[in-house]
Amino acid sequence: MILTSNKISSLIIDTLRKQNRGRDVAVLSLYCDYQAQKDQSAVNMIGALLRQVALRTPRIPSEIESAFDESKQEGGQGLRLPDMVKLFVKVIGSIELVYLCVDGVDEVLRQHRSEFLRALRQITQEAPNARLFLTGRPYIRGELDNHLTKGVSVIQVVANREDITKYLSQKIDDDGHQDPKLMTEDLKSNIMETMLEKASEM
Amino acid sequence: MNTSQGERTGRSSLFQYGILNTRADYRMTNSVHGDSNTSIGNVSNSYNNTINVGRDEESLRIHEWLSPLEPHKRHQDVRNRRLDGIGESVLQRSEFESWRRSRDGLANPTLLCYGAQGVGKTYIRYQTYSLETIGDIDE
Repeated sequence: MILTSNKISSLIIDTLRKQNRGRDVAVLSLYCDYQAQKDQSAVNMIGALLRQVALRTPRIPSEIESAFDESKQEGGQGLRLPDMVKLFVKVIGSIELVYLCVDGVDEVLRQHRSEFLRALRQITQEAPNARLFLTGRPYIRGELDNHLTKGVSVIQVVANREDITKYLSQKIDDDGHQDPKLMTEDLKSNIMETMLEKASEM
Repeated sequence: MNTSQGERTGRSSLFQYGILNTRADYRMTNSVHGDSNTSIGNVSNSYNNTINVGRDEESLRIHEWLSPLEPHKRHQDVRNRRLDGIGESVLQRSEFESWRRSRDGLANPTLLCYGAQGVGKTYIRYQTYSLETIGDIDE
């Protein structure tokens, strides 16, 4: 695929990390995945973001350690969602800026999705240093509008001519390595022209 | 061998992300896995850095307690498959710039990104079909 949402997300994540190197900025990533739906409950997803906060420092933040110790005394259960969100907001409080990048929200089961989106909204409301980046397929847009009403900018991403050209050229070159004699320059430009023409008709 | 594959994977990935910090730690972990008769406690006692190991084990437990998901792994996988230069027009969009630079409530804290309808899947299916004769271009 030329321009899947997860490639956009990975580009955004890498760019944010590069731009903020050496600064007190956390760039957290979460790729939602159909295949992991069983584990993708709201609390596990916020927990997964928090795991990355815990990886930033040599020592796990003390707030997380105390929450863990408390839970051990109560039989070692996992946190409930409201407590996980509270813990998350508390732990990121000491970081200058926190980018939360969530890719493919539509791949989360519907029943978990609304809870998850509400939790994310709560985080952006309670933590002024949190910035949220979300990607999804257009069909869940209505749902996102419901849960993330205030303070949302939207961009639509389309593969442009340049993207398609680069993609095709690279793929054809990869393929040509198998038998260079078969893929002549003529054939290559022929394929490229046809594909771009067809793409612009769609 | 009495250790599950899942546990082994979890451990090596934590090594990868810097929780198990040294090569020595990593080798030791492997040797624990290889010997069905020794517990982690016994083996770590035979090394001098018991305290260190104890903390790593504790970190691992805290991480697993927070979430069974390991999304940072996926990021590495996706970025390896990304082709250079593709999609970079997104970074030039003003919406991205103002979101990225926004400070404390001055701009929207949330940026949503949708693929355009009709371009994604339909287009890709067409493309796969057309190029079928020269090889598999779908990923």
